[in-house]
Amino acid sequence: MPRHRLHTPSLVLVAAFTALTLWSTHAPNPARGAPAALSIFPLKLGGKTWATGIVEVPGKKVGVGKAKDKNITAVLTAVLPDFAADFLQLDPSGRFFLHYDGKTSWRVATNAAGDNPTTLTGQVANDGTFWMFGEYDIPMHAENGHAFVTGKVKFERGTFNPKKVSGVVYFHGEPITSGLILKFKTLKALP
Amino acid sequence: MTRALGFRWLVACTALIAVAWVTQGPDPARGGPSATFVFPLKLSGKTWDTTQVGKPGKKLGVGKVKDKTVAAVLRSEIVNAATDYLHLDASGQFFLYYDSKSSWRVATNQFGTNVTMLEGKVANDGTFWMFGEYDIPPDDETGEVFATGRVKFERGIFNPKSIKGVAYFFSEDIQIGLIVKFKTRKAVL
Repeated sequence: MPRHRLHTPSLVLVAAFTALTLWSTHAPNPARGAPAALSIFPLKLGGKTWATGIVEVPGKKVGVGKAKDKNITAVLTAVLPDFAADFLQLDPSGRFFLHYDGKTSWRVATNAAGDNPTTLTGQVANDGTFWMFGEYDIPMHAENGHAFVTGKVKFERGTFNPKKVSGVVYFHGEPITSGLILKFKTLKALP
Repeated sequence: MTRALGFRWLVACTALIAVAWVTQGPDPARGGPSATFVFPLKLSGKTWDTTQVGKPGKKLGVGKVKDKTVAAVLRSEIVNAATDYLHLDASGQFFLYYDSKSSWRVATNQFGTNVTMLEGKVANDGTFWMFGEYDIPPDDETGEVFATGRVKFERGIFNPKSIKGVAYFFSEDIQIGLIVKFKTRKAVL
């Protein structure tokens, strides 16, 4: 029995030590630029869309529409029928989410779980400036659309953990003859 | 690292070179120009050496890209390791080949050699999205390029009169990032 009593606390200590070791090896390491963990940010978006297949008087602003956060929510939640609805992963969240996996890889999805994501790869410089490239797998089309995202990451003090991200998303999909330029900023990260 | 730092502005030039082009020809029927237009480019911007890691948020490894410096490097008037990543040419300039509304090329000469192709689209109002990949000499390294901005057309036709915008470049292979504003000078062809 005394042996059993000793065994239980030993297991706890071993578990605690193991957990501590694992935590410390995955802890933020500013020197290597690694974030502590995945951060998931809901996004606020706003900008313009272009129907690039429309051709009229050269230089005339035609086929240009506005993309507002409210409209995006309405489309994603299937409240508002829209041309874009066929080419998006609709979700009750009504939002886009940025999954910040690290300084070189992000994902964007219309759900916090990260299902059906579009992967972006590139780099975040020491000052937070970033370049992220990706391809969007357009539903019902064999050819992908191209995306580029640039802007600035603001880090938490003393670490490379992202506090907030803001920038511009550029997208063009030849199969759907659509172009986008959207400003974005992150809302409070999900817990 | 030192070499990469020294090449920052050169890489910027490289990125611009990467402005690409398409294999499909002009399509006047859909509003495209009927010939290729070649514009010398004026450049200015910044370069980032993303291997430099210091205090989070600190501006580190950031350099300037100036038209004069680009010219000196391309003409070999300045000895720099970045030279290895560019196609040097006596022109001392980058050239944008506007082949169509969906295909452009960029090179350091106006004769169409060692070009970087860009594909994308110019909208009716001139707004454009152009994506490409720059094949960094001398090895098999590459970098991604994106250019956006506005094309100003000649009155009543889709021939480009002038173009201005911003080119973005990043190469995982050489860990260099660029953000360079550009505008065209008078077309040479």
